[in-house]
Amino acid sequence: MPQLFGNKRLIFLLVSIVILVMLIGFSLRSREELTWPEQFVKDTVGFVQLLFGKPAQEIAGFFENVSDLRRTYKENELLKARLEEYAALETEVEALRQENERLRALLDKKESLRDFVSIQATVIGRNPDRWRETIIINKGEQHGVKKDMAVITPAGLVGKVQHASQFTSTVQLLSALDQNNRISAYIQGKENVFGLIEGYDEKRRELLLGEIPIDAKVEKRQKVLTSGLGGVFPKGLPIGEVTEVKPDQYGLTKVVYVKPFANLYDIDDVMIVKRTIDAALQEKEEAK
Amino acid sequence: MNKWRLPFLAVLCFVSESLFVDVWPKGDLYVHYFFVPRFFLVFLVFTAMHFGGTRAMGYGFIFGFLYDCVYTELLGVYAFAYTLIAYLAGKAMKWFHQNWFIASLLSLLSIVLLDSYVYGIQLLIGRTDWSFSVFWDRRLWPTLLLNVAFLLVFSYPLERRLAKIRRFEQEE
Repeated sequence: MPQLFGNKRLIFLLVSIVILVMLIGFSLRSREELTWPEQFVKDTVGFVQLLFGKPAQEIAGFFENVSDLRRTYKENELLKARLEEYAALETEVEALRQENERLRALLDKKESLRDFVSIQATVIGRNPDRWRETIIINKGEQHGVKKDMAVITPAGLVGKVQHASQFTSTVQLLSALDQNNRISAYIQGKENVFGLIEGYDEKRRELLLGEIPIDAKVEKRQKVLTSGLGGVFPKGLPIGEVTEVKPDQYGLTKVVYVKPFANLYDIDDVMIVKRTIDAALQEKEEAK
Repeated sequence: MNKWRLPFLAVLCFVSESLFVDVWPKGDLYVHYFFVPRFFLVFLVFTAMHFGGTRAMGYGFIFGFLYDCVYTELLGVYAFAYTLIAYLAGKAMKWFHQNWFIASLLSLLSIVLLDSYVYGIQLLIGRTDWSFSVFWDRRLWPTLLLNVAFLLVFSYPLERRLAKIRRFEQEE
C-alpha cells in the first residue's frame, strides 16, 4: 500500500486541525455580528441562490397548487362556517380598538410595546445539513433588519433573526432554540403568567415554556404570546397554545408545553417585525 | 468560456443542496428523518477522479468554506472535511480504475465519513445529544438513501459531463 500522507503533508494536516479547532472556537463565541467577509460571502451566495431558486420554487409551487386543489372543497365548507364567527369578531375588535385609542388619548400615551411595522421577506435558502434549523431570507440590514428581531408568519411566531448581513439574514427557527436564545413570553389569562421559552421538545414538536411560578394557574388551551419584555420583540405576537403543565425536575417552577400556531417547518414567506417604540425612543434621545 | 464550465457545475451542485431542502415537502418524513443532500460531495469525488486531487482540493476548500459561512456559521468544519476528502479521493483514484461506478461507491463512502465527522463535531461542541444509534437511524440511513437515489439518476450524466469538460480543456 502506498503511503497515504508524506511527512510534510502529515505536518500540514496537523496544522490544519489546529486551525480548525481555533476557527470553531472563534465561531462558537456568541457574536454580536458577523465579520464583513462573512457578510459579503453570505450576500453573494444569497444572490446566486435567488437566481436559481426562483424557477425551482415556481416548479415546486405548481405541484403544491395541484395538491391544494384537491383539498379545496372541504376547506371551503369549513371556511364558510367560520365566516359568520369572523364578522361578529371583527365588529368587536373594531369597537375595542376605538376604545383603546380613546383611552390612550386620555392618558396621552402614544407608543406601546404592541405597535410594530413589518418587513416582508422570502425564504431563499435553508441549511442543508439541518444540524441547526435555520433559513436564509432575502432582506438584510439595508432593509432595516437587525439581530434578534422577531420573525413571524401570519399564523404566529416562527423564529428570530440570528445574524443580519447587508442584503440577507439568517433566521433561527423556534425549533432550533437553545439556552442562549430564550424568548420572554406570557400566558394569557385573567392574570397573565410570565415565563421564558427555553427550548423545543423534538418528540412532541412543542415548545417548552419555563420559569413559571409553581403557584401560577395555567390551564390547557390558554394562549401564549410574546411579552415584549427584554430584547426587541413587540408585545402580543401569538406563539402557541398550552397543551400540558408539569412541575420541573426540581419542583420549584412549572414547565408548560406549548404547541406553536405556526408550522415551524413549512415556511415560504415571512415577516420581520420591528417594534416602533424603539424608533420613537431613539428619536427622543437624539432630540435631547 | 471553457474554464468557467467546471466552476459553474460546482456552483450548481452547491446551490442545489439548499434548494433541494427548501422545496422538499415538509411532512412528517421531513421532521423525523434528516435527508441531507450531499450533491456537492459527489461532484467533488467525481472531479477528483477526472481532474486529480489537487484541483478537487481547491474546490473542496473554497466551497467548504462557503458552506461554513453561509449555512452552518461554524467556520472551518466543512472546509477541512471537503479538502481532506478531495485529497483522499484523489489518492484512491490512483489505485482504482477510473470508472463512474467506483466513483459512486467512493462518494457514498465519503458521505458516511463526512456525516459521521460532522456528527462528532456537533457532539463535541454540545449542539446535539443524539446517541450514535439515533444518528444512524434518523440521519445516516436517510441521507445515504437520498444520495443513492441521486447517484442512480445523475452519476452517469455527471460523469459524461465532466469527461466532456476535460476534453474541452485539453483541446485548449
